[in-house]
Amino acid sequence: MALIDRRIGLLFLAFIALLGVAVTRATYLGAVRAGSLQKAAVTQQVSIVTIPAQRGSITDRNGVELAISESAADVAADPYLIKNPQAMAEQLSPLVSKPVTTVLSALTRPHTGFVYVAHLIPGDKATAISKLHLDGITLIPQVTRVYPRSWAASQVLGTVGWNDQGLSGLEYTFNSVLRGIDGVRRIVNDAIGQPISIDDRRPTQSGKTVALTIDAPLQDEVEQVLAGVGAMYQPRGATAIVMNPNTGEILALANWPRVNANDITSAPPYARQDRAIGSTYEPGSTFKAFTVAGALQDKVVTPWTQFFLPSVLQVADRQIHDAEARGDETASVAQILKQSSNIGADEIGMKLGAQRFDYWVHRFGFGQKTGIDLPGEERGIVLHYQQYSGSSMGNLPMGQGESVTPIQMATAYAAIANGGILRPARIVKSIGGRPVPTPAGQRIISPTVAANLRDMLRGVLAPGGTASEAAIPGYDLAGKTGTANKIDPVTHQYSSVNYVASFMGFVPAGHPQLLVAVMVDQPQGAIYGGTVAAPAFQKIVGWAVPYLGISPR
Amino acid sequence: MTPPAVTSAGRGSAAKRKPTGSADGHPRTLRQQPAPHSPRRVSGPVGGRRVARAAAAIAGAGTIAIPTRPARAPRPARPGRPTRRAGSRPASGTLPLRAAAFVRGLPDHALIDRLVRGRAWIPVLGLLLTGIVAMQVSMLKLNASIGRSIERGTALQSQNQQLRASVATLADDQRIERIAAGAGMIMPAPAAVGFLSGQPAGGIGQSVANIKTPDAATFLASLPAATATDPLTGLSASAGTGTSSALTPSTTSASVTPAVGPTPTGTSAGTGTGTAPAATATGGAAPAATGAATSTPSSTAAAPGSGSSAGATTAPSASAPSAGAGVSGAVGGAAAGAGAGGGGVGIQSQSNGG
Repeated sequence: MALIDRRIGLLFLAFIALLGVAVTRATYLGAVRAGSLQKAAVTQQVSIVTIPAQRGSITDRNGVELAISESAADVAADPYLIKNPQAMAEQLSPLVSKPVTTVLSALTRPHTGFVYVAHLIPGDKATAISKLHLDGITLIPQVTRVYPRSWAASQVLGTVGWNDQGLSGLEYTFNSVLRGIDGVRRIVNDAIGQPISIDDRRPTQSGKTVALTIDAPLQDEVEQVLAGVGAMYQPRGATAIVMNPNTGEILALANWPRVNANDITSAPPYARQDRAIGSTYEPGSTFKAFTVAGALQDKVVTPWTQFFLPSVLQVADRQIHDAEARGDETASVAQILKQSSNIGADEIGMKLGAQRFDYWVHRFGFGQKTGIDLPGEERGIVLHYQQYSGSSMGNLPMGQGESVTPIQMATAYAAIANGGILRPARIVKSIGGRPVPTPAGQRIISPTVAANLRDMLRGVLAPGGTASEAAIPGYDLAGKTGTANKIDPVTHQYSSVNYVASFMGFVPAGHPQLLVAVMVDQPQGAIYGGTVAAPAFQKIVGWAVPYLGISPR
Repeated sequence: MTPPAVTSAGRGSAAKRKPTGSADGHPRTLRQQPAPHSPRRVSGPVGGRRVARAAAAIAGAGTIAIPTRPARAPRPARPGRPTRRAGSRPASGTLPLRAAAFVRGLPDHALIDRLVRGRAWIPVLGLLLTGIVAMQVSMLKLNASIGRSIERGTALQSQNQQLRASVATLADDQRIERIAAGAGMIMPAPAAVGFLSGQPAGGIGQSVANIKTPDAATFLASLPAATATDPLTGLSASAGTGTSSALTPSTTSASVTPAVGPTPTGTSAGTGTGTAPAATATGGAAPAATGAATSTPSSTAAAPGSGSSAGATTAPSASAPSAGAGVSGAVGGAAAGAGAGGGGVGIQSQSNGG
């Protein structure tokens, strides 16, 4: 009995000793090494992750996605933790779309515990990588911008760069709205890496959706038409704007050459530019409408006022000719517009006077930004009348000597089309579902003058007009052609080779619902607005009128 | 020394649970009559005079002698303790005071005392401990589940975005036009789209009268076999490749060739709003657009394109009866091809100031 008691006692002592060892070890770990172990545990189990905010979409006026964000991930590696880099590189290579050697060199980079293997890989591939459970590989959540209609309105939409920052176009203008606020999430993982606690320290706020006034199908059609112009005339570039003249809403804004928004870097800088707002050109004969508008509003002329038009007009040191050689003749204001007489426009301008002409040029918004929500808008170059030279009134009234942007021309023509109200063009319909109000605009010419102008501009597409081929049977169209010499950058004189062909028109002429502006830069083979730009106008109108349900007359 | 005694008062309830020794030292379980209830806590030591009295009474009865602790000197009552019976309702005072008094007296309540002294606490405590552990486990599971759900939500959101992008890509009009062009369809030219006036009496009735059942044979015969290319839109439509095997082209009915030079010649004349067939035309000096549209009685349209066109095959066509909305033409490859030809890609170069 005593032996048994002794053995039990010894066993008890042994257990006590073991317990003592355990307590001592626990005390050591829990007290002496507590700090370092706690840090290690936190490092292994707790992670603070930045959840990138979903960048808001950009849609057309009907909700068609033009720009959308998708989840992506950066793949990073800790070379210290990678035991078999060769095998891992072979596993990762197809998923990150990089050669095995490239991945291997990243995985084996010496003296570093962090190296990027790939940037912005798509979400599905990131998921596949995470399912591999590769030690030493970390996925950093990111968001990538995708443009589902790769080529549509790419210069308007712009680009997004590193860290989801808008760099150009609407992405730049509305970056603060689209960007959202990144969230911060604390994740505690268990021993096998499964999250057992997720705490959103700062909730993610997605960016707002920006809905444009652009109509995606119409935009596609306009871009196709410009592509056709590009294929036929091989111009340096072409721009088309379709807008509702009554509201200033831009329904389509296209530039050619086209640019793939998903691969913007491969395009040349000229193609990336939104030339509708960012390039200036001499408008040529399309500007004559404003000369006439000022003269009509000032009651200097009426549509029926007759002018004697010599075959050559001497203004200071310059001789002004019409495009077609002719003898002396007499023509009314309406005929001057219809035939696009340079001498006639100068005569009207000179009758109006330099100061009043200058007033009307600025009144129509030239020389200042239209205020459209697009970055990089140019003001154009418009001289003040005090800067006029002796020959200025020989070329300014017919559209030479001043530089304008296509959007300025479209906005000014919209004032003629809508009855005399100059209203800033707008391209954003709503932000985050909240409609952007239509700008009030200001009246610059009377409804009567606007109606007279529209009536005169009908003649341009009528038989004998400069754009008669662009007429569509059954359609009540009005517009104006323009053909302007470009300045030769070498001689600084007007080039006899390079021209800008343009056409501004609207439908129906009586109460316009649609305005189309086409500008073709340096067309080859044909140079005239009636030949190069007016057919594009015809194509666009012929497609848009049935599509939009607009009565053609 | 206080003689061995049994007490049932105060904390002497241990006598009911613990085995106690008898006078001869043998342990013995004591089961005796229930003690009278008393407050769980009373001032003074366990035992004392009452214990001594009880022990003496028991000893005098010749029953059991149980050793007990020596009696201590009585302690003074703790200050602040309620002197009245626990749980008793205060006679007066405001409601908060009475509630405070009730709460203060709760630990000494008889019911609490009975509960605390009962053996049911053992399983209850065990159950509570088990519940706490189970709750912790379930919390961990819940957290893990939340984590999985969030990950799942993120994955679904990502998938949703990809699907939205796919929808936008698939709905691309240019893509649809390419597919349609491959199936033998092309866009109608502006001149091939006619609008009917909405005269209440004649126009609508006439339009309705023009709507006839499509003739499959005519349609099949009108399918183009040639390739139509629209230079402005850049579309190349390989006609005659219908989506159905039945749509096999049998005749060449339209040929559209872009005008590549600035001085195309010839004229084009097409009429009507029809959807149906057209004729092949030949170009002038320069390759020119060709074609002609068909006519309906209600309207005519002159194709503005240049190039000489010859012939027009008329056929009944569907036309919309309402004003401004009547769009005809261009679903079938042949008619559309003709319309596009008339639509005027071959434009005369002319000298003008504009």
